[in-house]
Amino acid sequence: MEYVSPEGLRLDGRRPMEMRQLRAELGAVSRADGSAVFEMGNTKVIAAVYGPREVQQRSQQLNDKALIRCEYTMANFSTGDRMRKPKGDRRSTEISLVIRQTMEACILTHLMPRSQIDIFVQVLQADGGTRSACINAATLALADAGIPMRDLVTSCSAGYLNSTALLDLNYVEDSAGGPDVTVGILPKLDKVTLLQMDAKLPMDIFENVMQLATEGCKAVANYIREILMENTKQLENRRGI
Amino acid sequence: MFTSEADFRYPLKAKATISASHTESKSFYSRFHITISASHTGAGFSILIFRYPSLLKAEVVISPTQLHLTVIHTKRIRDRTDSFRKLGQNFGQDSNTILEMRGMELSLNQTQKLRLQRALELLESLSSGTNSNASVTVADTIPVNQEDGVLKGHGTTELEGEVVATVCGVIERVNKLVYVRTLRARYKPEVGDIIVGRVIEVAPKRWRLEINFSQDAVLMLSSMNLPDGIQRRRTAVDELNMRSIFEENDVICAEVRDFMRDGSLQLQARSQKYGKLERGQMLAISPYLVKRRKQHFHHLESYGIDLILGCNGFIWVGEHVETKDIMVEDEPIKPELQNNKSQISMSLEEQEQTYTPLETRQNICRIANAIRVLSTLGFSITLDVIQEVVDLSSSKGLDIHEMLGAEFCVLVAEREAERRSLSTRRKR
Repeated sequence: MEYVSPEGLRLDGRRPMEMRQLRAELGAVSRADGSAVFEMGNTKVIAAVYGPREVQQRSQQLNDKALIRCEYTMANFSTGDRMRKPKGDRRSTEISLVIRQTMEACILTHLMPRSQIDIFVQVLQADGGTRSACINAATLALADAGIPMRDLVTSCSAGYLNSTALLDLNYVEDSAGGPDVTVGILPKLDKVTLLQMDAKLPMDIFENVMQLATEGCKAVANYIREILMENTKQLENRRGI
Repeated sequence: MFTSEADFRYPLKAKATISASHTESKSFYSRFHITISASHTGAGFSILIFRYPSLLKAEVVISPTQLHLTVIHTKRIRDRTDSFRKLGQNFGQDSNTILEMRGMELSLNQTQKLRLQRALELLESLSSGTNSNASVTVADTIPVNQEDGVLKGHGTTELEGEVVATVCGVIERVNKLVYVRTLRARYKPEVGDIIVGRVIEVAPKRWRLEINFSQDAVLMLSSMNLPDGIQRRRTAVDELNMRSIFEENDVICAEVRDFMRDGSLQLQARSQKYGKLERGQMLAISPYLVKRRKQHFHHLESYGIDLILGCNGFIWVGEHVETKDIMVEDEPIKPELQNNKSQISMSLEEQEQTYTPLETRQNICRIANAIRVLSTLGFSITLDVIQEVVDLSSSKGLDIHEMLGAEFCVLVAEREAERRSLSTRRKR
């Protein structure tokens, strides 16, 4: 199948290095400490953060840092075919773990000993790149909850199809079977916290693809920063003296 | 086939023509083809379309001068022509800013939306003069003069010689100290704060309270006055009777005593004004909206209501209770208690006490709703402001339930903008 047309356009009309439309909204869940909705094109993810709060299971309590927990679910209506998925299948457990580890790397857990932070992410619409959308949503929700972090974590995926590197794959491109590189970075510290790929790629091409994904992450970071800044200013202005 | 014209004011300054045709119809799904052609070109169009929420699924093809959409409407639409006229109009309107507010699902009509927007813009212009550029987000560099020496406070960290924020908030500087004051975050206790909390566990010699902190607070049996008012050692009997003082799910008012060595929080309730709160409502709002003041207990005499603004964002609105100092009044009461007749009258009095008059209950609800409106708008909550909102609602003759509607919310925003602009003018 032809994923990049001779004119250099992808199936959804994007250029190879073009991202999908980003949209973010803070405070979607009123009872949570922090929450966000993050959209990358048709992929839509909601994240809610509860905490830092008292540890629910005493045996899990850590005396020098906060306990981070993460739960990833996909809504039944998120995919094309409506399927009832069992809770805690391999895929969602793996992604929960990935998100938890990525977020744990940036949260200053030592400032909140003997407490726990719960991150819940749910995919409302799946159109490829749910992993990165979840990480971006979780970052926003954590920042909204006022949890101290080293840096914002942002994530973006990139792939390689028709011998072209493609940024931010959608579902059709994702299911083409080509390599899919998901990268998560700390933009300020310029460090990588997440790198996943389940295919083989020659070294030089991989470097290109990863470079592209990193650029994507930086674009996401700029957008997230704007959203947070706007929100902070708005809250402060409304509060008044 | 239907054609409608819409004026896209934002983000593009362009006039667009929407033409739509309907091709396929099932019982619940209808498929429409919409072509939008405009004087403006470019992919900027897609922004506009995706902001429009009813286009749940849209296939978009962008050509240099046209944007072609295939929309699947999930609603059954009776009059398609009419719905498209609306669609065309809404494209024009919704492409302006969509007002989104935290935790609020208000259906504002167009005028209300504009009024609210104008009030909020006024508020923004009022406060932007005082502290512009003071807001930071996570990982923003805080400008400091390194030569003077800097003390890094909460919400900051050092990275390659720069001071960097770790939370979103507002920069505060006190002499050499630089810290970031967070806005939406959990409560950060300070010794001496007055807080409202809920008992979640009765443990040996202590109660555990949920107070919106990262851990549960601890109220020791030894750090509160016993109901008989006598100062003495707490015995095992007292410990067994702890549930007669506070039970699970009771709402309590107390003061922050100190932090224990392991970082957990100790409370005390060594005065008659602290203790169990009954016959009222507890509201949970963001703690940044409550400012630390000299007075947190307020008695609103005209309403017969006690208002406690807990520093942790828990607010108590309840029927007024006379705080009597048992230590002094105890002795004259005791001999009367021995009399059997007066005991019966006492129990009757107690029965009357448990009944809250309807008017008081309505007042409680009115004040509680005023606080709810203020907190959804994100205005700081003080006694004056609450009173003003309550007065506004009663002067407009609004019912209690109407206070949570869109119209009143807009009114409150306008009133607040007016009030703040007056106070800033006075300062000048």
